[in-house]
Amino acid sequence: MSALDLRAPAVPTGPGTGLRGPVRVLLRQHRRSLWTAGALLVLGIGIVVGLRIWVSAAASAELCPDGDTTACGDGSYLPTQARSATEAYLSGGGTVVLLLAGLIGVFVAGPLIARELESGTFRLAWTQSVTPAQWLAARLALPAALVTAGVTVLVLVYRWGWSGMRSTSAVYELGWYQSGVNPALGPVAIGYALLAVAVGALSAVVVRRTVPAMGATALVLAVVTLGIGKRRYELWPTVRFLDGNRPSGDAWHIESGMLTASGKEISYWTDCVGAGTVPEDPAACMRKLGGITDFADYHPASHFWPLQLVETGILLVLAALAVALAFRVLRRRHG
Amino acid sequence: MTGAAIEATGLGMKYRSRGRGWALRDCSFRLPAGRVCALVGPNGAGKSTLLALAAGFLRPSEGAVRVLGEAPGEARARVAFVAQDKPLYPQLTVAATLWAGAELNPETWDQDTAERIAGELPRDAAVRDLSGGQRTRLALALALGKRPELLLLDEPMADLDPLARHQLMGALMAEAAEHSTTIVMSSHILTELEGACDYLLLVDGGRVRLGGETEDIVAAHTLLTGPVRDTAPHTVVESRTAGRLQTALVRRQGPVDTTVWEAAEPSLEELLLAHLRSPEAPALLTPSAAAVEAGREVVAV
Repeated sequence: MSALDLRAPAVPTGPGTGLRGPVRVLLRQHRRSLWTAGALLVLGIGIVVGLRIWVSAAASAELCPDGDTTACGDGSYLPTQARSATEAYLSGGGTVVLLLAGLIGVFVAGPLIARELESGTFRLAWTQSVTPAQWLAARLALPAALVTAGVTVLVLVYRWGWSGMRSTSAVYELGWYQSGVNPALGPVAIGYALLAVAVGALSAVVVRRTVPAMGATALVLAVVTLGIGKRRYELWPTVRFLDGNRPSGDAWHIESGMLTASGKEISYWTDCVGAGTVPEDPAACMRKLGGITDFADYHPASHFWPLQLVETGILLVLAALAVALAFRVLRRRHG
Repeated sequence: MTGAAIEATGLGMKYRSRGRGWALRDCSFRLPAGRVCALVGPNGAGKSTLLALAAGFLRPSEGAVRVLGEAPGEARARVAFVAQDKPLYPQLTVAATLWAGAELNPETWDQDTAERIAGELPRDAAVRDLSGGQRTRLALALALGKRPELLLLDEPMADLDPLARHQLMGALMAEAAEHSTTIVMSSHILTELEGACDYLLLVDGGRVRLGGETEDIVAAHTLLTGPVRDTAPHTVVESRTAGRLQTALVRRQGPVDTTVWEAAEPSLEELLLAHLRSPEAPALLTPSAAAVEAGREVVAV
């Protein structure tokens, strides 16, 4: 019994500081899932570190600083297998982060909250001096804190692995704007993870059954993620370049075409091909429609942070709404 | 007047999702503190709903219930509730469950009491491997470990064999007597509670039919045997005739005419069964069980 006594709280907490006990019990309840999450984190770190070690170990076969294994500057480019494999793996890093967020949301919805509501074990906590609000708060605060810490580590590690591959201009799949890369490069990753926690909690208190709550969470998160992903380029105004100019560095090309004298945009795809015209010389077609000068809209590399921060802000606002709604639903039903 | 452990005024609960209509309707009663109260009634009478409302799990559809002078949600730390299905975390061990009780009740937890009630439960066994009776024991240990002022037990002894029932009931009564805990125990088997309880609430069809000190309620009724004739001025609860002989359970209004009737005190079981068989019999609340009227409710809040 002595081990048990040691774990009993030595300092009594006041009635206001009521989250410590519920959080500790929650940790104990889900010890196994916690180990699994930790293992996943280590695995993620291990993959990135392993890839980077592999690339530097294979560097002896490279004849050129950009990773070419053939003579430098001879027109053909052949990277080592380590490089091409690493590029392929890292190009999915953002997708992995989004899937991970979905997994977190589904876990919060099902095993963490809805299962207790379904099986009735929530009443154990509620009769043990824990209010419904504290009970839910513990189930939100603990995953939110763990997920923020874990995803921050993953993002930093991913950025380290990603930047190691950027020395070469011949890497095509690791642009900062690519949908498979972008979410893993910044705070957006944390935004998605926190939104997942919030949506999971909301659908759990609304649906109150384990499997349907998990399904609803996955559905909502998929819709939000795909929706935002499709419109990510609209989250910050693009910069327009004329006469074939383009920004320096790694820019995200959004739109291009020609402008008429009155400033109207003509796009080859919508105005020439879309109008049923048989594809001809693009420039000639657009000129025939009144185009006089080329334009191109870009997100230059400097737009990385504004885009990330706007997207994160949207995700956090959605998460806050979901959390507020979840508390309201719980209060209305249980007083 | 001592404080009320539970006070309900016009309490009603309607389950929207289940389409069952009113589970509890127009309930007004008062349970004085320090009593051991039997909450009896047939299955589906509203006993569990009443307990869940008092424990602050449900928000009433109408009316209000106050527990130890507070709203149920605010009295959480002073009330313990053991639901019928004995909710426990299946993956935790017995020891971890008691540890969780200590964590969740940092101010009131009494490990000795919890250990005593848990008795010889194997401490390293997972809750999911326990038998129904063992789960009951652990749930009671958790409930008593928090040293509640009010203990609500929904069908607490249903899973126990007679020996364990006797033993746990004894432990429960000892704790109650030592700390003057108010206990409410629901059951549809009266014999399970008779003898242990000094207070009675009969719930039937979502209403409180009888409420008050068991002795007083029994003493207010008389079993009359005699010729078939009007029993006025007494209130008839149930009357049966066999040939030229009538047996009637009445609530006395004045002295019984013993020249006509043979009078006897009914047993508690006879009394309850008579009420359950006669849903139209008027309710009886002794003065201590009658809710304070709304106008006089100055002590509250």
